[in-house]
Amino acid sequence: MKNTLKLRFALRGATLFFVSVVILGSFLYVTMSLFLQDSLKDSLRVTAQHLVSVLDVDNGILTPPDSLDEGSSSRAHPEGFTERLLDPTGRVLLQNGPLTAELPDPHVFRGPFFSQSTSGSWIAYTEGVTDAGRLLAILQVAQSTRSVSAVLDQLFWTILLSLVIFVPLSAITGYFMATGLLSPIDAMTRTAKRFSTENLAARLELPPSNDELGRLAGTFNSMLERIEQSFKNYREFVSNASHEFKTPLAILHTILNVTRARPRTLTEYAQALDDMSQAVLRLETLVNHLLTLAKIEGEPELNGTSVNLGELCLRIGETFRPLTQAQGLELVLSVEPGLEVLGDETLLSSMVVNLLHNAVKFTEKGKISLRVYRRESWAYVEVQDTGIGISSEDQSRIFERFFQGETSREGSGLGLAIVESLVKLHRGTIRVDSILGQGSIFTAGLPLRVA
Amino acid sequence: MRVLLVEDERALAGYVKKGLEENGWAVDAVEDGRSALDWVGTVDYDVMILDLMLPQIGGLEVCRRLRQRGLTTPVLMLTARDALKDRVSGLDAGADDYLPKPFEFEELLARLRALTRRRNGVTKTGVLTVADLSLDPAAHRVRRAGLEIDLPYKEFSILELLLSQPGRVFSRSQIADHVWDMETLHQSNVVDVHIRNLRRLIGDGRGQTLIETVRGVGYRVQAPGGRS
Ligand SMILES: Nc1ncnc2c1ncn2[C@@H]1O[C@H](COP(=O)(O)OP(=O)(O)OP(=O)(O)O)[C@@H](O)[C@H]1O
Ligand SMILES: [Mg+2]
Repeated sequence: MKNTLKLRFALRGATLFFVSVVILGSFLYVTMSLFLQDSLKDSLRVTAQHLVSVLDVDNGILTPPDSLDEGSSSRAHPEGFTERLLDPTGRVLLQNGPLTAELPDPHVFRGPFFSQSTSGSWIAYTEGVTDAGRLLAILQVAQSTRSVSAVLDQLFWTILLSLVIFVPLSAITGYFMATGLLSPIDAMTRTAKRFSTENLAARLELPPSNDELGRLAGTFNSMLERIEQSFKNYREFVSNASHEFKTPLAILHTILNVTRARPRTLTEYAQALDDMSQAVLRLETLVNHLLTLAKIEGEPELNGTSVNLGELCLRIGETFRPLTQAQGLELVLSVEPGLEVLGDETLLSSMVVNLLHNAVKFTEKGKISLRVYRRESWAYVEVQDTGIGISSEDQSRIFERFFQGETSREGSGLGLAIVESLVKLHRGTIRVDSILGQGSIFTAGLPLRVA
Repeated sequence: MRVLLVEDERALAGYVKKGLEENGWAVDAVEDGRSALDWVGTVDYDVMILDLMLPQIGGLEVCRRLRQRGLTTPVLMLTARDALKDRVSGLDAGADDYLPKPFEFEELLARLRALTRRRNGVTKTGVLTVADLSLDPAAHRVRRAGLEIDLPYKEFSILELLLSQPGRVFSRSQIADHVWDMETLHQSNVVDVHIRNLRRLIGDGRGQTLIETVRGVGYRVQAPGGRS
């Protein structure tokens, strides 16, 4: 159900209120009734003692007065006030008040006591009148408990009424309070629903607050931010990749279209095939680059073996010799022996190949040198060329996927992106130093394997 | 018809140039925006094929500067990006048409014809007719008195130019500019040679004469309804 949380809030609130009012009410009721009874008893005792003190006792002889309590007759008596004077045998000497018939009969008096009617409608106090330890008479005072029960009834009804009124009210308040408290969550639900590939800009718009929900909303928004960014990156990647695919495809397409439009000579066909194989090669390289990138990206943790970096670089460097010779470039390889790193040999060679490839591609004349050396606990692979160099503007962008300098013609701009991800995968570093027109140095640092 | 091809992919540019030339176009090919702007200022092109992604000055910028200079040369944008956004910005920059890569060569030809036709204000079907002679640029076909005539590319191009504005006199250099690209050296009599050839092929002189020589100026095709 849609609103369960709010309803539960309301219900809990109401239950809590109900229980606390019932407990508090019962406590109040019991304490109140005990207190009222006590004070009733106190007042009875005080009245009785007062009456006893004004009795006329002389030398062990009690002269029964005409009426009890004459001194205070003007005083208003509480409801149902009854008084009775008996002699020690229980004979009534004097009595007045509405409860005379119901008062207990003190057959044998052993001390003062309170008594109560079975229905609790009155309470009585019996006190002896003594002189020098001799019981002269027995005095009884009683009073209706109506006033007490009236107060208690009032209390009971008040509590009941407050339950009837305030329990639903607290439920309603709880519901609305929950609505208020949960509104950020509702907003999050709506935002999450709105957020889609078509609408990546949807964000929670809540007044900033530093409570739990405020922090949750902040986290939620920054998560959406990251999702949007990665979607954008993904789209850009797809758009770039498809552009890179379409160019060689367009070349193939056009060669086919134009060549097939009319009969050709054998040389023309041969030329067309050569040109097409160039385009196919380009597609192949592109696919390989993308696969390498995907492989690196899909491999969060490297399970490498020990690789002798110097040997690896020498091997790769030698494969470049024909290429450099053909371009009239000098190739210098200098390698410190015994530098072992933990890594994937294929991936590491692809790193060196990409760096050397760039060096050859962007160098017209001069030399290319590949060095492997050690500094502290790091092994460094350094590829230096005397080529066209890279402007400082471009230096910050060359590691981006698909980025190519203005002067670059072949390739797809993925080479250095691959190098960077490879280095990262091996927990290494990569840096470039270059002066436009003079040459570039690419330095990859890899942590040495701890023996 | 003469076209400026601006494309930095050499292989693509090479084959597009070849294909266009084989269809009677004169093609100048350049590889970047700056040279494109230089060339378009010196030669009166009938149409321009412009790649969007060019080194230094991009295709959009070339297009914009072109229009700023008041040049109305029709521009066909060529690009491997075909997101709606790119298409719109291309047209906004002043391009007249848009063709995503990869494309069918036939489609490229058709679009180029449509663009030049629009510019020269020719009828929708594109068939140029004067008297009993008709030329269909799309089909690359010429008929005279119902008979089909097979014309070489240069001759076809010259005839197409003359027919595009019947009655107007075209100078020899105008004809040469239209039919030959910059790489082809042309002597002044090369036009005369091709005109002579053209006349022979369409049977001018036998009966009605269509291509007239205007002494000291150039050549023209009789306007319909003119003197015979
Ligand atoms: N050694 C270098 N000298 C000068 N410029 C370089 C050098 N290496 C890289 N660059 C610049 O950095 C850009 C990105 O290089 P990267 O290797 O990523 O792509 P690419 O070589 O153009 O294409 P690919 O490697 O995918 O074939 C190049 O286009 C070039 O402008
Ligand atoms: Mg590279």
